[in-house]
Amino acid sequence: MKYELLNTTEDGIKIYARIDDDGLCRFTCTEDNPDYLAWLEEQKPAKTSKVVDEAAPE
Amino acid sequence: MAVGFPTKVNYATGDVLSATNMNDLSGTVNLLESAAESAAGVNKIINGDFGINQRAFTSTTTTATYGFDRFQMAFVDGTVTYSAQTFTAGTAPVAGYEATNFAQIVTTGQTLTTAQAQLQQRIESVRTLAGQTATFSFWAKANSGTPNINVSLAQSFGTGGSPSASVATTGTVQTITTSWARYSFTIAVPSISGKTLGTTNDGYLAANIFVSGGSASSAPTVGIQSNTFQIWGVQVEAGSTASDFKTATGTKQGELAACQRYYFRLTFDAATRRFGVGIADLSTNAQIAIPFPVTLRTTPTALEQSGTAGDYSVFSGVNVTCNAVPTYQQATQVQGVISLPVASGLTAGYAAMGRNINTNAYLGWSAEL
Repeated sequence: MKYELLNTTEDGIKIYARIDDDGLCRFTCTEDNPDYLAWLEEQKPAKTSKVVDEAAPE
Repeated sequence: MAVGFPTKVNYATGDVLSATNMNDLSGTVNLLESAAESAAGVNKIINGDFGINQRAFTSTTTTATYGFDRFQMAFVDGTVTYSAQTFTAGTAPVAGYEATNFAQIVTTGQTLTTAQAQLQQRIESVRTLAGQTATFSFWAKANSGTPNINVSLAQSFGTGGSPSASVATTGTVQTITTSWARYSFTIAVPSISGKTLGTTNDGYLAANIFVSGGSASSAPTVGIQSNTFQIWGVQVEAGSTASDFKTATGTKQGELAACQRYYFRLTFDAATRRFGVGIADLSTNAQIAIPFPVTLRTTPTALEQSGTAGDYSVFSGVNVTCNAVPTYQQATQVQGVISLPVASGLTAGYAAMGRNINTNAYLGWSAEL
């Protein structure tokens, strides 16, 4: 499971997509979401900026 | 209380109904519950009878996962399976209640001293029962033997600022059998005097039922156990005795609404139902606002959906199937706004509605603690 930056809304809110192990996205969230923040915390040793994939702009 | 029905039929002005006009003064009325016991709010646990299952939960082996509304399972080490089970008619533990569902937790393969497994509900506000004696009760049975079980009420002071550290108070371990029986634990919940509450206003009282716990876990007196545990009728109330079980609100519709303060899932009974109203902001996207049936505890920051774009479409004069899954766009405590992307076919500025292609589609928003 990983999170990817999906887009930024017209309000400037960054929307992240959680990609499950089967490749499906069942969950999208803001950067304030507790689940996303917990995942981000888990990634810290692996350097967050490299783990959070940024999806290609639409 | 006397049971009396008037035998006198005709009255003149000024007549007084006396005992001699009553057919029975020695009987008694047996009330099913006292007024106090049936009052909403006695049970601090919401959905204690597992009657609400918005997530259509069947089974999970993932820790910190919600199943029945308001209840999550958490564990450390091994494999723990939390599943929804259904009572065979007539087998629910309280005669006359005829509950439908119960929770099952199966523990296997735990070896670490920190191993544990628990069913938990986070009761909103750390002020709940603070400084009071509380009684934590539920029905339970195991598949084999006489395993241990214990509970805790853990006060979490929330997040934001510099909140005080959590304080957990455990009960006294009890053994359960292979038959349904009610177990009751009395706990003195500490006062919150002198504590600092987080500024985010998200503190809670966690009601935990432990079915396994190593020597260095949160439930060391339980011990590491491999077994199948079944649980129903969870109640946490003020006082030192367990009163008759009742749900938090006393009604099915009240219980659903209480659950929906923390989680709302929009599901569909059939294909091609329209939902929400909005606008095509692009030829390739519609934004749809969906009102929540109950004001959520807090503003949700995520949208859950089925994971399949083809479960969803947009109706804007024409039906256009989505080419990507619905995504979170914006939310308040009273509504969620989602984006429904399509490859083409919408006219920017036109009104639009969401539309499910099949009954696999759902949309979920969480405001759980």
